[in-house]
Parts: sequence; structure tokens; C-alpha cells
Amino acid sequence: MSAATAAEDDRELLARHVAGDRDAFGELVRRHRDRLWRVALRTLGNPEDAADAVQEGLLSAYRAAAGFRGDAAVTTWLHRIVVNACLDLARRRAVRATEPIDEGTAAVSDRDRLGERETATEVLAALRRLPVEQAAAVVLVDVEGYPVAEVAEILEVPVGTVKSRCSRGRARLADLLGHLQPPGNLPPAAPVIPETEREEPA
Amino acid sequence: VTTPTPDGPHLDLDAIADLEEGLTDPATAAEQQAHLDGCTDCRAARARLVATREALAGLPAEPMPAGVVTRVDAAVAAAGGTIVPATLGRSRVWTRHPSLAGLAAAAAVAAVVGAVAVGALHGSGSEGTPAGADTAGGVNHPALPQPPAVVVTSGRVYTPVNAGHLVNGLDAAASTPSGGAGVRSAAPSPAAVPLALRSMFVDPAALANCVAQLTGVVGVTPVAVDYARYSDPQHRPPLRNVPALVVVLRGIGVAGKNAAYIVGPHCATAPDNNIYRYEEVTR
Repeated sequence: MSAATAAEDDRELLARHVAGDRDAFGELVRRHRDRLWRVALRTLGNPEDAADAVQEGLLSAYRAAAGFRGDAAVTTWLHRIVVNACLDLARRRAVRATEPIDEGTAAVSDRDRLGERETATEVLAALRRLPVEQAAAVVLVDVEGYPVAEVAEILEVPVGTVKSRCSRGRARLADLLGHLQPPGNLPPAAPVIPETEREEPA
Repeated sequence: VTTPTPDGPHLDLDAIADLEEGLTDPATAAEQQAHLDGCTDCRAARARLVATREALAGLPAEPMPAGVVTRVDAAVAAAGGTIVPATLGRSRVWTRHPSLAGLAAAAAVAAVVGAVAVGALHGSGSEGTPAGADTAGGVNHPALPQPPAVVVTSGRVYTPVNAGHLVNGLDAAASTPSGGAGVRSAAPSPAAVPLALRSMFVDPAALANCVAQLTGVVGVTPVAVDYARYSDPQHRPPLRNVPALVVVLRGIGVAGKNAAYIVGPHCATAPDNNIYRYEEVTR
């Protein structure tokens, strides 16, 4: 199914839901829940909070569907609602992760033994140390691969703000995760590619 | 930008990240790029940024845990919609049923439970020791999950009609030091545990694995569990008196209330077809 067809189907499902089709919203949830879950989990860093935020967001979407104006893709709209639920929940909690991360103390031999799972665990722990607004931007752009313009729509902020949050977030993460970089593996000097010339993810 | 050197100022991570993101004004960007091209230290810093972005992009695409799917589906169903689980076909519809609240439910469950253990469990270390209970002379091993506050071996047949009522009673029993209205404090009975559920009854890790599938997180201690049975003729396939574990979890329902899952013996390894029902505590 092409992205355009999927987007049309999403709109159709939402319209059917608003018209009273009891199955339509559930189908919409089934289509998008895994991505929404990943965004919430990685933004909040806690499965219990992520479950709360996804549930709260989807219930908000269920009730607010009649107000969907159609000026964004349904998936963008759903992400916006769930991410807002994440941000609200994080602000209510008012506490982000405090556990220490092993900042650059791993020996070279240890680094060599770091498996994919350990790396993922460290990355998720580092994400929890970012301000939640930065974490959301980094997760949407760098983890989920959404174009910056779409993330700006999801977060309802200017494109420049998304870039700035990503930049600050990446710098902080690189500081926290510096030991993940294999030694002696420096990339060659290369010209900076402006964002506008980058290929967008499929 | 910090630390001037004979070769020009080094770039910190923020400056390099801004440069990569195109946030730096053209004149400054040109200077910084020239420095980067000739500075090993700054290229090493940029390599850390590249490695970070690669690690972010390489995070595994994990699906929503089955327990969270069930919970979200139930919430949408409660709001008036229906969810048809992919694994169960189009004919299966999740619904919630009205639940009786409070003491009446607690009294009802008191009448049916075979045995209840409240608070710290003092197992004998034998095969009949409930999951999570001490197996080393009264001291919980720190590596083992904590036992549920209440372990019931009711053998009761839960159904979609009575599940709300019974779950409220089970939750009430867990929240009342004496075990709820009229609920006796006693050792749970291994003999009352269906054979298929025995591994979760005796092995804390087996119960913990099941709970982890429900919550998506390791280490959550249930408020209460009931080793019971479940019947639901509308389920696909229909369920008739099958062994079922009722797991009450803290604060996962709407507005932070407790809620329960009714699950089959293989909830840890095959959650998609072993999570039979989600029921919110309403009291």
C-alpha cells in the first residue's frame, strides 16, 4: 500500500468513525499503535508511563475526531495527540531519569563486548536524561525517521525549533554516549549537507 | 566555541551539532568547517555525534506489548468503540461489562475464594510454595520478584459476566489488611491450582515473565493474583473452564485505578492468544 493510499484510508476510517462506525477507530488504532507506542516509550523512557500516554492520547483522539480538520495527515494528527499526552504526563511527573549513566568509563574491551541490546538500553537511558521536548524531537526525527517538517507539524513548533531541539539533544546524547564510538574510526572530513538537500526517509 | 588554539578555536559538541543541522550562519559555518577538516579532535567529536545518530536509528522496532494492546483496546471499547484483535478474527469484540463495586464485591469474592494469603507469604520451600514466596528460611532473595500481596487459589470460574464483580472483590481483598470483608487469611492451596498454572504458582520467574508481558516492564509486582478458570463462549476459540490466572495490577486503569488481566498459562510465551480479558477495577 502506498503512503498516499494509506493516508486516504486513514481519512476514510476517521470519517467512518465520526459517522458512527464502531469498528473504524479500532482499525485506525491497530494500524498505528506500534509506532505510537515506540514514540511514547522512547520519549518517556518508561513503559508504564508510555502505556498511560498512549491510552490517554488515543481516547482523546477518539473523542476529538469530529474536530479533525484534515489539514494534516491522520497519522500526523494521531502522533500530535499522543506526543502531547507524553509531554503533559512528563510535566505532571516533573521528574526525568536521574540514574547515572556510565559516561565514557567502559574499557575498550568492554566496548567490544557491548551487544545491540546493551547499546539500545544505554541509548534509551540517555534519552531519559534529555528534557522531554528534546527527547520527543530526537525520537521523531532520528529514531522514527520522520521528516523535520512533519515533526514540526506534530510538535506544533517551527521547523527551526525542531532542528534546534534535535541539535541540543544529539549533542547531549553524544556526550552521554561517547564511549559507544569505536576508537580510531573517524569519518573523513566531508562537507555539511544542508537539511533542505537531505533525502527524506521513505 | 571554546578553547582557542594556534590552529583556531576547537568546536564543542553543540557547535558541531548546530553545524551539521544547518543552524550556523554561513560565514561562521565556513570557518568551522575549515577547522573541522584539519582538526583531529573536532573530527573525533563529530564522530561521536555520528555514532549517536546511528545508535538512535538502530534502536529495535519493538511492537506494543500484548498487555498494553489489550488495555488500550479495552479503553477504546469502553469509550464506545470496538477493537477486533488481529489474532482473533473479525468476529471477536472486546467489551466491558458493568461491575458491582466496593464491599458487595469484596463480600462476594470472600464467599468463593478457596484460600487467601495476605501480606508476607511464608512458604515451606516445598513444591507448593507460591510464586515469589520465600524459599530460604523466611528471607526473600533480593534477585527474585516480590510476591503479590494477595495470592488466591479460588479455582473459581471467571466469565465476562462475573469478571468485573470478582476482580473488584479481589482488589478489595488486596487493599484490606485483613484480606477484605470476610476474607480469611490462610495459606493458598497448591492442590487448588490448575496443573497448567502450577509453574507460575511455584516459580517466581515464570509469574514475573507473564506480568512483564502484560505491562511491558520487568519487575512489576501484582497487587493480587488468583489461580482460577475462565469461560467465555464468545471468545474465538470458545473458552470453557480453561485454567486462567487473574492478575490485578496497580494503577494501570483509567484515572490511576487498578485493573486486572485474565490470562492463560502461556501468557509469557504466547501473549497474543493467552490474554483473555482486561477488566478495570471500578470501586
